[in-house]
Amino acid sequence: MKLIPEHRQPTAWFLLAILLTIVGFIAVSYTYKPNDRAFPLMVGYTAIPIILLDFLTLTKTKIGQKISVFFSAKTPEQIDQDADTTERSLGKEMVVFLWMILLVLGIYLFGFLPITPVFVFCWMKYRGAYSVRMSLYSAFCTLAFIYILFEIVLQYELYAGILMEIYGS
Amino acid sequence: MFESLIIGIDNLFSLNSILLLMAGSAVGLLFGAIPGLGGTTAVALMIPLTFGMEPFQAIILMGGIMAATSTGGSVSAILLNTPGIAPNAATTFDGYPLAKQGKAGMAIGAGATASALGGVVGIISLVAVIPIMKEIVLLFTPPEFFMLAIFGLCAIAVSSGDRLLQGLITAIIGLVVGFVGLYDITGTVRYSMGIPLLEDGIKLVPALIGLFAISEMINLAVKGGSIAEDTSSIAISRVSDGVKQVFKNWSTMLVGSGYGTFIGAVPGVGGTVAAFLSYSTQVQRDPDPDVEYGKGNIKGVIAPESANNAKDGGSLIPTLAFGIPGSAETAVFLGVLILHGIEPGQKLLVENEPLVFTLVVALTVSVIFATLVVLALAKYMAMLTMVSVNVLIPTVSVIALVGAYALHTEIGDVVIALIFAIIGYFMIRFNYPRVTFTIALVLGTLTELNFDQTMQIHDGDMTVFLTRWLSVTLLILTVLSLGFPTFRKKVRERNRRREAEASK
Repeated sequence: MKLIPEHRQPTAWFLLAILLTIVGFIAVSYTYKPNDRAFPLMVGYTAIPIILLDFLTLTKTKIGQKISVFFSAKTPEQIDQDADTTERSLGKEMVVFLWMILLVLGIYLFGFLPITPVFVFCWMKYRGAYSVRMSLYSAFCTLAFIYILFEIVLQYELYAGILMEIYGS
Repeated sequence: MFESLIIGIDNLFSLNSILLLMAGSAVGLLFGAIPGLGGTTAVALMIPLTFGMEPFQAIILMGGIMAATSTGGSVSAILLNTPGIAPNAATTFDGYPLAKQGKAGMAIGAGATASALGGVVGIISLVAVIPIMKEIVLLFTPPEFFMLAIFGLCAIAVSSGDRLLQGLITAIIGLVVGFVGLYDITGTVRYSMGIPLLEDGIKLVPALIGLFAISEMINLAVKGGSIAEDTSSIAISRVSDGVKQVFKNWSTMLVGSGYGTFIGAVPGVGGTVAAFLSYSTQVQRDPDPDVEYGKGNIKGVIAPESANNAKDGGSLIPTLAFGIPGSAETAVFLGVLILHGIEPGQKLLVENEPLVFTLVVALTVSVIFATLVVLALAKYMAMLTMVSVNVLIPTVSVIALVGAYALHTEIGDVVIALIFAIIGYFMIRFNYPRVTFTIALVLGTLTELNFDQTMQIHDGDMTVFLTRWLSVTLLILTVLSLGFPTFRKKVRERNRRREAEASK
């Protein structure tokens, strides 16, 4: 990865993941009949040169510079200057992903209505450092909004959770 | 025609009809503003309410909903970077940066006014072009539809500014995701990995909610702070400034409205493409902007908003004249017409012309009503951007997940929303445009269907795309759009050279 400056390496890994996905997609496409795979294969094979061109724009080579200027009218350095420079640590991202995964898992197990106030309260109290009173107030306002709009006005039967399905009745 | 217009006005101006119109507009605003609900859901949910109504009353209620949805959607697009409905996604590009600069009021004022004027232009066009529209729409056969979709994708990738390659890559991923599920032409289930939930394909609503609403919440959580970077200036920004900006930039509004009407009239393409094409055209028309597009240019709000409201009138053209819905929303509306014994087509235009004009008047009045409501409340809506992220993130995330679940009452859709949220977050993190991904996802099925139909009709002869004038025109436009960044650079360099020479 010497060709690619350190600050562009995460993007290179992201691009590599996309490339692998596309290669996998092409491979799976061949398991279908010709009529089913014609257009998907056309799309898949079009993706590979575009991804490689994008990959080249991440390198410190002359060809990378030229490609970048042709397609974006800017050199890679100019694009770097305009980029969002927010510090994003992987740990911080994983913690947020975990909160969201736990929310979805909670909905799956216990349903929307019990999890809504719990999630809002926990987030505000433990991530936002709000007072217990404010967190409880927001949690129950959100619950009331969801209950009134979806259950009463729109008459949706919100998901009650897998545990309720197993043990509820 | 004039007599029918008078009957249409007469139908609308009774207490019952006005109450229905206001109720429809309020529902449209609410459903438009809440990410993941949208006008199609609102129209579908209101169908049972119309059972006991006269046809013209049902049309008034539905007209109110359809006209107000886009206006409502622009509010959440500007304040939360979360389009209430897909066509508002283009509004986020400049609307959200304006909100971050503390100019949310101005952006909402401009968006609402552009929506109203765009809507009125679309409705006038609906009345004006019905006699000739049939000929135009019939020019589009599968090769032209295919090329139009490709042109749409490339034009949108170009509108991603300096991220053309990245825009094309995300467009391709969007197409790939769109291939998942049952393929109508052959009846084969593809790329579902044996997961029953994926056999019907990736549903658009949960995917969009994840991609735009929840991914933005994840991004806010990682970055911290509040939505408005300069919250102190929110109160200074005046909604009336936004209204003035629309009249100042009237040509942007008119071009956007033209796009909305025309694209809206092409079945299946819809408001999202209209809004994005209008936005990209605006970027191309303005090579040397005062404020860079994507960083809070007010014209970047006016262009898509005028287009996505004008498309309502446009999409009703094929719906009323030929019974071909121009969008998902009008497809449901078509169901309402049929439910009330109204048969779209020439018969409707000849025998039931007053009903068509009732709809025209209802759409006009409700788009103005919805705009007045948004303008009146914009000041308070703008205060939303001052809310701390730690209040916003949990509440919006939960409401968005309920929205993802609600349409199909399928718990798997919540998981899909989460997966797309994570994908969307990585797109934000590595600066890969989500917009091209979304458009490709929307257009994927249509593109493949028209490609396959073209191949079937023309025995696999690919040269058909080069032998039909409209298809060739669209192909040339596609190629030209890809060379646009280089062209734009050359124009800028020439302008700079001229300025340097002039200053010597």
